[in-house]
Amino acid sequence: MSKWQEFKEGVGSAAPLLLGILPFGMAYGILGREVGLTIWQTFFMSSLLYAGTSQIIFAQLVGISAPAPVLLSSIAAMNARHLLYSASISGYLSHLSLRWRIILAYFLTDETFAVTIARYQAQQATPHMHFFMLGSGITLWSCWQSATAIGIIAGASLPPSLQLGFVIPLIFMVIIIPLIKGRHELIVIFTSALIVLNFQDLAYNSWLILASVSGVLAGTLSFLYEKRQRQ
Amino acid sequence: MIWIVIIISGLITYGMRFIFLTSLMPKQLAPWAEFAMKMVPIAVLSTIIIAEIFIIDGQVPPMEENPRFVSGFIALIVAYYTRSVLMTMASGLGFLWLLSFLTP
Repeated sequence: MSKWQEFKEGVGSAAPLLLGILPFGMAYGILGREVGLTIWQTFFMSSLLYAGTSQIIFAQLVGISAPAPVLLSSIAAMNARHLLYSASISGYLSHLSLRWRIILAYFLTDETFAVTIARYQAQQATPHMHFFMLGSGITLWSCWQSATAIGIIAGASLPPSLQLGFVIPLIFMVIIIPLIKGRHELIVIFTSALIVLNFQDLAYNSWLILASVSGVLAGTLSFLYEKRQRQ
Repeated sequence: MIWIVIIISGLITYGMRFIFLTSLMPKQLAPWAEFAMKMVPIAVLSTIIIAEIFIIDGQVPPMEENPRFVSGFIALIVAYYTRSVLMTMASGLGFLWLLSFLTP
């Protein structure tokens, strides 16, 4: 396939996802303004950070006046999954020039990873298949930026009585449900819930970190325990 | 200050996307590390979901006095069956507005 064909296929693979990304991006745009970020901070976070879920977490934490270290560690923890994406896709991109890898790394979001790895694993390697990733990446990126802008504009005219901050847990429910595969995940959720409900008055809003770390720890221990039982 | 935090967050996130595309890192992670990394989004997101629904102004109000509890529960069911951001937002927010309207 030619470069252009690969690119178009990438665009096509991203298209069905736009319906989910649009309301998500708009919700972020609205929220950013509601928690007191400026228009430009809200808008440019979408290209500087470019990771939807963590941008909403960022807004949520700004809303409760969390200090910078809590913000940074939460974002870093949340986005650590990109290490997995980077590791899984590296084999398909290792022959490319450094310039290509620098550019493609920027587009490596949940969605771009999902469509690209699916394509790379299902079909034989071709010389121009990095154009597929570029096509899906640019499509998803443009949609995210536009959705943010629409949200910022729409949010300016909405009154606070609408309690739009409530979309945060709602969006997160949709993200989390497909990730629950079994017992370990439920242990993670119950541990985190238990900690957050009992320690929500901790200083500097550090409950977020404490509850998340405890959840991951409990889930991983349960995973290791099960592995050991099987041996 | 916020700008600096945004830029550093962006650099950290970009770094994590890029690092395995360099030749500096081994391509395989230990199975437990890979598993733990998959659990992080679940832990962070469920913590925020619980906090946003159950905690109001630093307190945990009784469930019957908390409109977010019922609205969140309905949205959870909708999220489970539809997997749609739009439907979940519409049902959850819709119920919250309805309850806020009924209980002045």
